[in-house]
Amino acid sequence: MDTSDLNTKLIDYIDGKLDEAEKAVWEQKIKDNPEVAREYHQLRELMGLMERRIVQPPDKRLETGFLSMLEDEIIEMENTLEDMEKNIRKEKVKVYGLKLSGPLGIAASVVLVLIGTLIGMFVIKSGQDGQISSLKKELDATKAMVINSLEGQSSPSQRIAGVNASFKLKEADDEIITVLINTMKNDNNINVRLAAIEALYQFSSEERVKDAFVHALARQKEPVIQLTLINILVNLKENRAIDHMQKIIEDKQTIKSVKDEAQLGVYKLS
Amino acid sequence: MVDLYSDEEIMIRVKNNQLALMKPLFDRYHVKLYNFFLRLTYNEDVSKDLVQNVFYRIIKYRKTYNPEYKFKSWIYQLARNNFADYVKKNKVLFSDFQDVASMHVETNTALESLEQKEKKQALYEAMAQLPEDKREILVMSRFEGFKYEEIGHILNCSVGAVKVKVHRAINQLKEVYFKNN
Repeated sequence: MDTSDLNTKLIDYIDGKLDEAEKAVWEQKIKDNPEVAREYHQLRELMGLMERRIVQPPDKRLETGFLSMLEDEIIEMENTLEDMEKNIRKEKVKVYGLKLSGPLGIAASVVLVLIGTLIGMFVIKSGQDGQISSLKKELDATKAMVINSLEGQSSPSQRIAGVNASFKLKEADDEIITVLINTMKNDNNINVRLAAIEALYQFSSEERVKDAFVHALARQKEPVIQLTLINILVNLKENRAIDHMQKIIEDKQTIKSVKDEAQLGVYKLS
Repeated sequence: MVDLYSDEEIMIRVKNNQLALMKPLFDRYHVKLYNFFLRLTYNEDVSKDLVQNVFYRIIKYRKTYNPEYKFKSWIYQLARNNFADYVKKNKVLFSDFQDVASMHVETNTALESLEQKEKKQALYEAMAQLPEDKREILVMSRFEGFKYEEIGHILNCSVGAVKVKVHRAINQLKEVYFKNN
């Protein structure tokens, strides 16, 4: 046996990776053979030195630098998403503009201007609080943005931007919840479905949202979606999900990490 | 609630633009990565820069993360690539990092004898003389305590191949270490 083969066995011996029979053989060889004993003691010294590790913490500048970099990236991302929202709005205006072109369009514009003027006069006349009106407008714009991007023919990134816009809503809104549930159930892009789940989580005090999560767990087959849903349903203490989790565990197609999470979920909810 | 999430679950959310969740990932990994780089470079400032850059790359390439892949393996793959890029860009060799004496050799002064400290110093000097790939695999398998399977995922090779690489690296280190002493 050359030194390399000898050392391979000795390293396994030191690491405790030999079975009982082999271990006994090598214990004997170390006792009987001075060459083997010398190699063994050298390896043990070296491997022992490498095992005794002390973790050295970096100074605070690393964390400060990271937080500053993260803040910059968040601002950059928010700006990008805002630009995307603006583009979606512009596209919608263009679409409506096309539909209303020609004489019908002119008539519609006149009607719209008249309606707008009447509403404007009414608002001024009644002296309603302008702030409430502007907040409502903003809310309506957000709603329109979410619904348009999810129900229209927008790209996955535009649909994600639409889903993310729903985070601006402070209260649950029936229409938005319906659109988000449909997106979670039916969108063909996994990232959009995942974003819809995250967005729905903010409305999880609503019974219909909880129901939707439970039903989605029964239907969704993507591991990432399953993992996210299991986690959410466990956090919501939704024990109606136990049966679905059991089915996921029993399903041969389920990957190990999802099975583990489902088992943990069943344990926590039982 | 984030504390209850696995690395993969947090990264899925980061991938979906919840960038603020990078902070818990940073908290979980920055010290480990810093020590990983420190054992490769023996330079504290370079190690901090490399750690920062790994997290920057995670944010930039977040959309490429595959959730079926262990986050730990992914972050260490980024770390390796990051280090390789750094070496290439700066046209430096591992031997250029051999400022071992100036590094705070990890010792526990209260417990360790002078002889033990000298042995550790000698170990670092021997490590510094190893080729890049051998030093790296020793850092992962011995100092970082990675299982062979985990290293296999990072290096994209079988467990058997990892074992062979680790054993060869130990053998070479042994030769250098005992030759020096």
